[in-house]
Amino acid sequence: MSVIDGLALGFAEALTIHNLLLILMGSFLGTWIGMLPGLGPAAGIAVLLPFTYGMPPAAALMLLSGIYFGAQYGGSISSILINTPGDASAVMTALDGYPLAKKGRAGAALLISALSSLFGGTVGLIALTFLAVPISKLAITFGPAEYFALMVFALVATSSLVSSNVAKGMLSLAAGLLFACVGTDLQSGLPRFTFGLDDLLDGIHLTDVIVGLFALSEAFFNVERMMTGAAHRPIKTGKLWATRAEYLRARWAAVRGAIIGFFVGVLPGAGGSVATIMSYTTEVKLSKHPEEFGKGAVEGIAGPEAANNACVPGAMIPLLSLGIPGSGTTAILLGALLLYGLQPGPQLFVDHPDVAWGLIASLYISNIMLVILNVPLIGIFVRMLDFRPEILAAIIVLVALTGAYAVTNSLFDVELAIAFGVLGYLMRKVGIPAAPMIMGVVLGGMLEQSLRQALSLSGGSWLVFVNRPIAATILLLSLLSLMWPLVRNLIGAGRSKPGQRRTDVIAK
Amino acid sequence: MRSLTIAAIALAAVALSSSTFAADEVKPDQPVQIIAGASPGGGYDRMARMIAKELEAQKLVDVPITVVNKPGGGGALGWAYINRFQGKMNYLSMTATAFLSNVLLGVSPLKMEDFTVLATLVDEDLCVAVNPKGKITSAEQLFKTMKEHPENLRFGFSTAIGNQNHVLLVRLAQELGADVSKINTAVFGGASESTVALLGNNIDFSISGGETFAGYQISGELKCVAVSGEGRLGGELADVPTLKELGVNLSYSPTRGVIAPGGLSAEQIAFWDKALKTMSESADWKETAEKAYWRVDYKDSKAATEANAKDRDELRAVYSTLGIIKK
Amino acid sequence: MSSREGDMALAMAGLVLAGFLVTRLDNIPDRSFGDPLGAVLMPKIWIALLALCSAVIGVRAFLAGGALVNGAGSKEDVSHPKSVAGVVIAVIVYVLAMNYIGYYLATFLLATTILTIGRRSAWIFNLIVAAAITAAFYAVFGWGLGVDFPEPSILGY
Repeated sequence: MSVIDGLALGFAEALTIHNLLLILMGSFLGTWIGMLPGLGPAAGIAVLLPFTYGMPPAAALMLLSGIYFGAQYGGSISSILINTPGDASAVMTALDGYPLAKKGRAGAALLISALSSLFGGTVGLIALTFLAVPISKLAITFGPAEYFALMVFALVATSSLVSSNVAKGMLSLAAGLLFACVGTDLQSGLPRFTFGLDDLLDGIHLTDVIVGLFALSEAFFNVERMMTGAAHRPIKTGKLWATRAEYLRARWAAVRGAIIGFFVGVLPGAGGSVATIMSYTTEVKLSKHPEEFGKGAVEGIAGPEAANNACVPGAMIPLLSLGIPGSGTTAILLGALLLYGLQPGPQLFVDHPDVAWGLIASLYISNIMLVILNVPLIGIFVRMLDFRPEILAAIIVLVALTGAYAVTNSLFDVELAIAFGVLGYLMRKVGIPAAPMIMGVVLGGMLEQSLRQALSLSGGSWLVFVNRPIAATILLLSLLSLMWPLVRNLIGAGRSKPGQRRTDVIAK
Repeated sequence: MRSLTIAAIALAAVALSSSTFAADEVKPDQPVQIIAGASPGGGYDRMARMIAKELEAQKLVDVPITVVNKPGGGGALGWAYINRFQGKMNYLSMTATAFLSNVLLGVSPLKMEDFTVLATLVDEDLCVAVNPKGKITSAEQLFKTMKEHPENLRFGFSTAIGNQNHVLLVRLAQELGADVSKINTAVFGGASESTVALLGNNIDFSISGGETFAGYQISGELKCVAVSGEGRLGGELADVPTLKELGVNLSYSPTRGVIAPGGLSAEQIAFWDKALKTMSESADWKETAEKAYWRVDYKDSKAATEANAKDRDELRAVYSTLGIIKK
Repeated sequence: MSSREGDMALAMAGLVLAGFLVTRLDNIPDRSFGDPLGAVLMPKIWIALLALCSAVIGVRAFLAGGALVNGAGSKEDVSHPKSVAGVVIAVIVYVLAMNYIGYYLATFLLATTILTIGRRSAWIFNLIVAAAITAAFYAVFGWGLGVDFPEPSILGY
């Protein structure tokens, strides 16, 4: 069946009233689930799975993948408005989205986020439709050595983030990397840093870190603002639309983000969290004004948002073509497929083309629906910020704690989240950035495990990183990336003058 | 007015939470929670959902059933969780080899005797798979290389050191007289990751339950060269010879079962014995299990406990060979 | 707390933590069956990094003697640690109490507490808002998502 025939079949499946309603419902639900900290698309899908048993598989998958896409949109909404990322792939959006909102430009941030998401999702879907087979062939050649190289690349790019205070940034990173070591070590099966607690055998859940470092610490700061009578933040919507210059800057960031997000999504084991980190750090590296990041640089929103939406179709590729999940959420979709009695993998397109193509078509539809749903709501969302600070604080604290609980039904996670909340508060007081810590937590596990896997398989030989072309290339790029600031300084010393600031940096 | 409001709210709070005054009787009268010690999509989760579905469909319990995921420690987290509910019969958890090996390997101090073993439900024959485009393409070649040049082999498996997949490798190597410690071994986080590694030729062979490889067997991307049970598997793996057929005197079919917290009374155990046996004998269950390449082999609480003890002794021997336990 | 003192305290904390973690490493046996690096090497590297950065921060703070600029900017200078401590304690009590009084009641009480800290007036208003919040949570999490919350244990659970 050719691609065009497949698409035609898929759209025919998807464009029934019944299925359209399901897609709409999924997208809508997904947006809300994504907004709730602690609950990501994975949890949302897992929770709604039992409700889908009675439905035809094609329809059920449309609902579930609507949730997946919707959550990527939703997570960024709460990131921007209340510095409370809905899940791991929304964390990077908070780093620049929230400061932009604090300047009174929440509307612009949300708009850029929505448009970048639309763009990223579309690019990813087109790539999925036409490039699925060759891409998946490339993706499976990625072995432990390549994953390690990729992690090195991502971490090296982190170095540019900490340029304002290297020691504190690296401290944060080191702490994050250590947090990633907590739990059962995969290669040896031994518990590390678990202090005898069974609850730590699975490591520190990323959810708890995010909920604590962002939502709770932000809530604690709100409490302080309440007490010291800091003026009830005047949340001007600002200009709802971004300026033309901002659009231009954001555009290329979105393009890069989409490409990065798509490829990372295709790689099994790496999902939205890794994709957004790579996009963000790439933007910082490439920007001529890296000091703007963390204060409302639109590239810092556009890139990661495009990335996390491009990641969804990316992750679908190994799922549909190989039966291998490309991310944590697709792992659940895989489980769903098995429960429905379908065998994912190359056979799926042969045996059940309506399901496979229907799913792809529904993603196109969902992508568009989400923008239509969300953009008009931007005004309403922003107005929610006008609640009195103590009500906001109460809601944020409770949503954060409940979200932390809801994932594993364990109060231990709530306790961890609280601990990270206090940690986050203290960190902000002494000027330690949170972003490197998150990056350490997200990337540290895969960094260490793939290094050791690669060395195990090569019999202990470090040459494996040189002999494998893809790994070697990525490592070389990492080295270059590390050197880049030096090179740039050398080149730039002769050119731009310090007074030449871009006039499009808004400060209202 | 205010006190009325408080009273109303307090009443509402109480009403919203379902409480019970009755002690547990001979059947569960509180909602049943099936704890899967892994994230959705894995073996524990699949079986948990299968059981939940069947118990409900066949109306073997009359309370709602939910599946809760508590990933960690190869299942240890889930078992530690139900360990808190001694004497309560509405908590179940899924077990596999890790249930017996965790305490041996030092992953968790919980042993089988802390729980009530309710049943073993299925046997899972394991499959040895290779990549037809890779270095190793047949069972004979694999065995030969294992014996003569184990250091040239790259083995990848999931999900933890000492689990059933690993055990099969060790016993296979033992049977062949090969030095298992020379085989380059990497542990992956999940079946999909080790499968991808095999598909991409980053490892030479892998071992996992039949279901992991079935789809790839059909498409020809991977090739199962041996299964570990007494007899062959069915479905798409019917052409795969057993180890015994290949001349290796080894048969290994790790079991998957159900446990409950410790301290259950004889009546409580009897209830679950009956319910699980009925479920196990149903055609629906057989069909679902077959799709997962599991063989139905029901043992009730007493028989399962004995079988587990025997398995545990065998595991102990294997781990000593590996040199990874101190005892 | 000035920046300088803050940084020095941070440095001390970092070094102490690094030292502590090194002692925890001894609990990890060095199993030979496994990979060439073992389970202990990478944590050691991260701990070393942690100690190094702490040392650098401490030395810098010590030498700076005053005019250290806090990297986070002046926005975070509104300081009222007592109220934050109060909220943290409230939250901890919330978690501990949940096993006894159940999720909904605990949530209701916590919401009331936070609101009361913020608004010293209109007691009844706070209760009503807290009740509304609790109801909303029930609708979204308890009913909508079917989350299984802890139940009150004093009722013979």
